Amino acid sequence: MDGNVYKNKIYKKSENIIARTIENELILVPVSADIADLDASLFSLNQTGIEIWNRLDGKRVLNEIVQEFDENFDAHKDVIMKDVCGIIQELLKHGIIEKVE
Amino acid sequence: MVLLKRLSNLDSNLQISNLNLKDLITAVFKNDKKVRFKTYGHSMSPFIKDGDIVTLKPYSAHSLIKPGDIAAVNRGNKKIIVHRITRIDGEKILLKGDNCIEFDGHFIKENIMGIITNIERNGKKLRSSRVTNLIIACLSGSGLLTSHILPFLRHMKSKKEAFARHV
Repeated sequence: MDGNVYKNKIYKKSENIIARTIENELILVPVSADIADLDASLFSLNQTGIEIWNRLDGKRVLNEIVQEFDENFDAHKDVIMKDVCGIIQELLKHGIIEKVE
Repeated sequence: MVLLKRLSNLDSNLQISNLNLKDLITAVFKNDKKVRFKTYGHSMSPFIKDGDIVTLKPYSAHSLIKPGDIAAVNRGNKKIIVHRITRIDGEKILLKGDNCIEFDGHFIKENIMGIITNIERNGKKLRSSRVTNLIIACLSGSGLLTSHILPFLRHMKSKKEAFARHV
């Protein structure tokens, strides 16, 4: 699996993830062999992570998502790019998202 | 800035309450998947001990349940309870913790969220059979399990440990 992040690529949520909002955090539960293992591998996203997660619709390239953040949030574009790429890399590493080929 | 956090323990990082566990289980079951999680408490000891990991399969109206099955039931006060079915009375089940003196009471089958399919302790799967579970349900339902059998087993265990210390 390619762990690099490409700004001109599209990323989408893995089909093997169940997401649920609990106490203002998004809990991500990976499912393997038809079992959701709440004991071994749970992840949570904070508010910023959730904003990025909601935009991973499998249609927008990463650059578009960064552009959207730049227009809607008060932060330097470099910081936004770094945060977005960082979260994408983490999500890729844990198999929570996939690159659309 | 940490955007993604790995939760290594279900009830430490987010202090996920019983309500949240019920919420997560509901979300998983909506996708028709099984769920595996760590249990806490002693109400089902020694058959499910504190820290054991159980696997739960979703229950539906078409599922076959039997006395002896261990069910996760929506208690209605935002809690779930994982106890044994001692009897089935039509559309209701009579639930009781194996290590509890009192029955939990009757619950309608609609309140069943799932049925335990697997119990793991220290990385190993515990063996159980339908007959064993049925016997436990009968002994539990009659009160013999908590009044005589479990105290006897605990007594024998402490005797064995005392003997081992002196050897």
